[in-house]
Amino acid sequence: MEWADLGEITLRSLAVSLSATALAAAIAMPFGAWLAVRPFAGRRWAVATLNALIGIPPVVVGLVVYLLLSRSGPLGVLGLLFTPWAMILAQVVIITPLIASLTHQAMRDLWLTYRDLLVSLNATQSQRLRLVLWDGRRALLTAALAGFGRAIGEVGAIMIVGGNIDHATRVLTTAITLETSKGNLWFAVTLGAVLIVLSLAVSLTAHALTRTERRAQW
Amino acid sequence: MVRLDGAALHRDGHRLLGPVTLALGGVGITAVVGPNGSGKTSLLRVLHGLDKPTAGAIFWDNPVGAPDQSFVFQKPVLLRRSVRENVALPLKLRGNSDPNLSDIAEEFDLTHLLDRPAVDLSGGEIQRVALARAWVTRPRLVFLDEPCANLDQAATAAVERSIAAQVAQGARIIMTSHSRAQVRRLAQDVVFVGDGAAHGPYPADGFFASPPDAARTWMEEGT
Amino acid sequence: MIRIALALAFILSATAGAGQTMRMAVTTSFQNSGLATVLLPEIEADTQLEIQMLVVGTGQALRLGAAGDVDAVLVHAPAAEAQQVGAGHATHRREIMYNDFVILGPKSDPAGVATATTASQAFAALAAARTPFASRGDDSGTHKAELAIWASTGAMPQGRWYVETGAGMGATLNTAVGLGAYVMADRASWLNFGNKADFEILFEGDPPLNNQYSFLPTNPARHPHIDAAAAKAVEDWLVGPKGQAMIGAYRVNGVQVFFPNATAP
Repeated sequence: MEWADLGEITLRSLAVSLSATALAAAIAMPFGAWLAVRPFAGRRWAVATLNALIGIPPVVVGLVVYLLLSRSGPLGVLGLLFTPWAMILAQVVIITPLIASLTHQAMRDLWLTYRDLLVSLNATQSQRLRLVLWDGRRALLTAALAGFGRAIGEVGAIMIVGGNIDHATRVLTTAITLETSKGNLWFAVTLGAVLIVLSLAVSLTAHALTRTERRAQW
Repeated sequence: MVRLDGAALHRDGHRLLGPVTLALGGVGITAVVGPNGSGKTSLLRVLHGLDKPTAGAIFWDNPVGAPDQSFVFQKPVLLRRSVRENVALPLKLRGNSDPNLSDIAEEFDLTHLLDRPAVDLSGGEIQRVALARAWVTRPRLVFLDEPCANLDQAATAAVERSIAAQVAQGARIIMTSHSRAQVRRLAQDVVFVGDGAAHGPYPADGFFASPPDAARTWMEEGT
Repeated sequence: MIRIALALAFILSATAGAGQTMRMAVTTSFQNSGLATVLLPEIEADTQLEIQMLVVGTGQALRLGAAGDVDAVLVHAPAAEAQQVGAGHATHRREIMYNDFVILGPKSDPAGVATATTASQAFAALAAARTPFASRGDDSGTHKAELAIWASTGAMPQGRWYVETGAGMGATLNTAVGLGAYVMADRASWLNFGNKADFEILFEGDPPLNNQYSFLPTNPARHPHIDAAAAKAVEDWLVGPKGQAMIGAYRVNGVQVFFPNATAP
């Protein structure tokens, strides 16, 4: 790999992980809030399951996604294996439980504060969901950033389903693995530094965008 | 208007209220008084329907639908939004996306605060927002849980004026208060709650002139 | 927001759109030697194909071929390759070139490997000295070749001195250097390796250390979506005069590491 490829690889890392975060958030946030707002007996079990899923090794997720997307697998006809879409799919599976769990936790606290008021006002289930999601959006941002951080730093799953193909599916983490295997340790460390700077930049940008909108403590 | 028959409320093995047997009429202000932790708030919550009684029953002979009721909590919960959004909330939840708030804001002296974030308000202002939000739907029945706790004299006077004004417009109010003076000023009748059991209602004048046995200790302790 | 989404979609699809794509799984040693980087642009230019290379161990490469996930594989494990063809996963096996393995270790050579006359003797000396040895342990072509040499000594390695990394060539070299352990690697990967410390080649040149690379096109009868024509084009290029010449001309630090030996079909 050349220095000239660094920009391309960095952009691809960003594109894959931002897309995965957006998709995972679209699934996890309503689900996490729904778990927090809806009184039902299995909630503790659902939350425990969610928290257990956070700990699934990404390599296992990668293997399962590979088996699904392989030409010999059930979704093989889609031809998604070894494309960025397969990497996005794997990352979505990896970070959705994390975002859902963090969302649930934040929304639970907010809901316990709002519950009496919203029950008293006869708010419908969907009104309750929308209210806590909107009012808890700073916590949601934190949840999304945690998911993004896990996605962009992940290597085991996307190595399997993306294949680390030059100019197609190579991202920062798989490039780090490759350079390490070549014994180019300093180059690998430099790529690691780029990864950290990238994570930091995304986090700061996200916080700056919301801070200009509303007061800091919200 | 409403009758409780042996109604009780338990949670996690603790008795919060009752069993209570009690009948309340349809007009004016009823004050629920009693020592801290005696179950005053629980009584209001059961009447409003926030908590279902775990024993006994509740009968309405002229039912007041949920949309015609409001509840002002002892620690008002304001959404993390502007004052305008908070006051408009009950109307928005009913599908009125752009309600006119000028009258209600005027009534509770909130006009100049409408676009402020609710988190910036003082205690008295928060209470006025909570009251305005309770009244913006023009409910027939309003529950007030210690509406003047932690307010100074001037703020208390303003809140009491607005309560009186709403009653003049025909609202029925059931409130708790730890202030005997406030109960004297506002209430037509008094319910005494001691250790979960309810006594009364007594006409307010009579309650203070010769307190019932159950309330005598409480009367002697307080101010 | 929409603009960001469009930009993301563009980055994600930018590489997929252009031209016809051929997917090939190759072994880590082929990639780490640097030969892949030299050949790929030439193959792409001459065949008008966009070649996507997956760098994996021989074992995984063969499985990708069997699953129909790649159009062809380029690997080095003759016995496993014969099985792949026998099972009908590949249409045939075409020999392309060979390189050789070398035995590496710390310059001090505590086991005295340098004085051995055959690879088998060298390994026997290692087993006798019980000095640390790092093995790929990943079912790769290099791993299979190493096991074949152990088998020729009459006893398979056992004990704490025999470390299986379960990783690729580069990662195993890193481990060996870190542990001061002997290791067997293909010459090209070693010459290209950037973290050599005080390690050097202690034994080389015995015929069992030769390492044959072959090209196996995936069977289109099993997997109709396979681009057999593209695989054929790449095969023809590799065994053709230009491909064979470029393989023979490739040098790492002035050393020839691959020897073209394609035969007519």
